[in-house]
Amino acid sequence: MTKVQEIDLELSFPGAQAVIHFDDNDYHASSTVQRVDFIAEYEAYYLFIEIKDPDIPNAQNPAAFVEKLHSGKLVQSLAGKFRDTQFFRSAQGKNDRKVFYIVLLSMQSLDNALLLAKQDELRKAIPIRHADWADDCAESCIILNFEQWQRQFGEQSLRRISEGAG
Amino acid sequence: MITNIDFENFTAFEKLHLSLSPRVNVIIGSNGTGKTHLLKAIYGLGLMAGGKYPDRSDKGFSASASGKFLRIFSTEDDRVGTLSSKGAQSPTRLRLVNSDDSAIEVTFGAKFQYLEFALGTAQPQPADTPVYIPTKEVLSLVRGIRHPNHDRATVEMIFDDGYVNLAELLVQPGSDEKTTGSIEDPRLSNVLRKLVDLVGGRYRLRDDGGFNFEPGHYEEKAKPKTAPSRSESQTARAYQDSTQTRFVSSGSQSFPTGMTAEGYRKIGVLHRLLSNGSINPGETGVLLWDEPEANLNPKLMKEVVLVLLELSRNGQQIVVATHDYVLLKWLDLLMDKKGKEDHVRYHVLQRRKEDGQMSVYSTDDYGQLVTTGISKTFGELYEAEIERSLKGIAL
Repeated sequence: MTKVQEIDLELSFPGAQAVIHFDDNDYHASSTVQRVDFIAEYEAYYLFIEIKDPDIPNAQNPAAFVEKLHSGKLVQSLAGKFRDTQFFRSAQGKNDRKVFYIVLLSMQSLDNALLLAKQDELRKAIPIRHADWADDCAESCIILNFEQWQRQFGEQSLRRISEGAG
Repeated sequence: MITNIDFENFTAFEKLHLSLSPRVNVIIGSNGTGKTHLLKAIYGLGLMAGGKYPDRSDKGFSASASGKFLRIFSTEDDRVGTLSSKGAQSPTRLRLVNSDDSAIEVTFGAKFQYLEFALGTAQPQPADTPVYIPTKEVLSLVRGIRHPNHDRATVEMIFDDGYVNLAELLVQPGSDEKTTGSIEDPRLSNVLRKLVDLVGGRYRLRDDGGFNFEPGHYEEKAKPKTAPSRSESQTARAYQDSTQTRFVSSGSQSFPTGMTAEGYRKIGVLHRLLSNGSINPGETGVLLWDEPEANLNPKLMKEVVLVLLELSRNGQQIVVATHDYVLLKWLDLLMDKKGKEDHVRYHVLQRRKEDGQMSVYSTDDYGQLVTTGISKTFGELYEAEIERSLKGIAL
């Protein structure tokens, strides 16, 4: 089973052929490519996974994250990471499968209505679709909170390491 | 200031107890949970307590008060008993308690024609007159409701007293329309300016009883100085004394109310009620507003919420009934509990699964509202979105 860790969160991808830690400074050397945290490769699709965890215990600066969210900078950054990662993968020739962009945003205070609104903003910002394109640049793009991730992919798929067990 | 409300066997409410915030109260519930009935009952009781009904010593008081109370509900029956819960075993009882412990209490049975007033019910306090703003916009209806050639019975059949009473308040001249032309109450200066800026002007009464929209804005101007030297401690007060806020027409032509957006007219209603003193925080009674969001562009909601909070900070008790997530969320985001001592209490009306009766729970914590219909609706939308986006995807 493939498990990866992003600070205090552990994610499992039991069916993946490979999970690449894409946001790796050594791998990208001094390029300014903005990158998503992980790419999970499956037989029929690629998942681009970006993780934001403002609910992490003892968060350094929670107010700064809220500011980033409200100012629209978070959405811009999420969009940029997707675009650059797509570009990198195309250059690699790994653009042969459907791409799903999944952002895990673990922030309890963000309710469903606001998540929906941010998600719509993100789709427009990327953009997922353009009138002059034959196809959408991604199959879909979605922002999941902690609970929705577990509901969608199973309780075992995600755990907070500081809470032990699992 | 109302502190408590108790209903027994009243329409959908077998038993209802509400403890109101002195500031902002939000009644939440889906259609058919009795939000409007609740607001109207508070309004009717408030009018009785506020001396708007005839003198209690008068012989015809009970009949007259009952008639007026019924007219708020637009029932087709002339017996108050029609407002009793269906099949109730005991009489209907409505009680409203104020912060000074004065109370008004009425009872009636299912077959009663008139209200019975409980002993010890407070004597009217004319200052406490409540204001009720119904769901629909009223400015454009004022001329029709008050027109001398229109048959009263017909008008009253179409419009309940929520509309008729508001029409009477709206025709009172605003302080900014009088000869001095300036806002008299400095506390309301910011709010009035905000309301006018939101819609780009104000609504003025025409001679024929209708309203025109007059484009323009408020401007602050210095008054001629009378006392040249002041101590520093008087500076704030002196600033108020030395400026006046006047409405300045933009010069473009005014046009009939009907030509403006309905959402704008709702803002206009609030502006007129404030500028003519019908709503005077700390002096007049509770402000009851049914679905402020109806026909309002959601973009305007943030400003409306800011206005409500500002009024409440000046001593205005407010009760709004809503379905609107945007209104709720702005209240949550904009309230300043510590700095400005804002207080918002949410009262959630729900139908109990066991017996179909209405129940209410009140909370001061926005986070507790996750079980409401409004929140669930967004939950469903979000889940449908996830399902569409991640169909067939497993990790």
